[in-house]
Amino acid sequence: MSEPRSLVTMNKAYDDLQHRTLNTIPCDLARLIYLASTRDYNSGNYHHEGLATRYGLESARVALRAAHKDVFYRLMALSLEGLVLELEAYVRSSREAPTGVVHAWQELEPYRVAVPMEVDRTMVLLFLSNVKLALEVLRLRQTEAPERRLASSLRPLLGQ
Amino acid sequence: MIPIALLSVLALLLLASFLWSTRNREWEAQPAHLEDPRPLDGNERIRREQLVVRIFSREDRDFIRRTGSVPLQQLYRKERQRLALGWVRTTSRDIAKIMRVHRLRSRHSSNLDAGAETKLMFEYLWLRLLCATLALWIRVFGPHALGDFAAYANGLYQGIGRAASVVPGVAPAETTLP
Repeated sequence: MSEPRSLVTMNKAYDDLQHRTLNTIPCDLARLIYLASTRDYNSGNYHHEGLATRYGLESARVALRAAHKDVFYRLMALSLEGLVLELEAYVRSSREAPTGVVHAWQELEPYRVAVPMEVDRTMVLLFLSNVKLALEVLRLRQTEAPERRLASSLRPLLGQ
Repeated sequence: MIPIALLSVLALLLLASFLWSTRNREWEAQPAHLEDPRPLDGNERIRREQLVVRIFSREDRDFIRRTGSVPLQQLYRKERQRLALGWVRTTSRDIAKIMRVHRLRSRHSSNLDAGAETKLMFEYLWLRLLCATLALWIRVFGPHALGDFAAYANGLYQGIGRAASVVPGVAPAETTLP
């Protein structure tokens, strides 16, 4: 009898996490980073104070782990173009200078520690490779944008 | 007679090329779930199909082409080729493990269906040959021309996985990999 009850509690914890927390985060990439941040680096266990208080430690852990995997699978299944849009939304939501965020992500590769444990290794490698490519696309756009602005500002002068 | 000999030589070359390609870097470190081959559930099957679609996607290639950046296109080609070859290696190695478990479990069965076993073995060898061919073609042409071929290999892999998990008279958990 206790197993179905704990399953119900886990489902409630999952729904609560979705509605109260994850739905307020603007994009899946930001959700992935957030969920990874609730995981302890040494033990790999997830912890969320509010969820644990309401539903118990284990149910909160299971809900966080499931949500983390769900978000990861959604991102893995995105086209490269879709992932670039996700990354743009993430950069906007960070409120940092876009060039700074892209540079930091290329240098530090924080997305490597944002993947959940116990997922297919090829899926992880596809995700990491796609983020690397998406960052390169963004960097390219950032370097091209000032050139394009300069060219369009020079056009009327050259036409005179 | 000559075409058969030629085909045999070609098949051997493909197998040799594949065996050579399997001795490689990051796919050597296998995740825990591959140590325990088992039939995939519905969600895992869908995700595996999505994975194949994404790795061999022409949509992504066209998107990168539209950027007009040659270094980016080179990086993309390199990354996708590496991923596609890794997927082929993993599929080939995974199916070999599934068949190994199946063989071990079959020893405990007294009423094996010879026809079904022969069909399973034939499909297994066919998939290994497909993987070898895919690995070679990915190296030569790149992964994007091979999306349908890879999807077919993935379907065959899943079919073998399902068939190999059933051994008449033996419970699934009775024998595991040593």
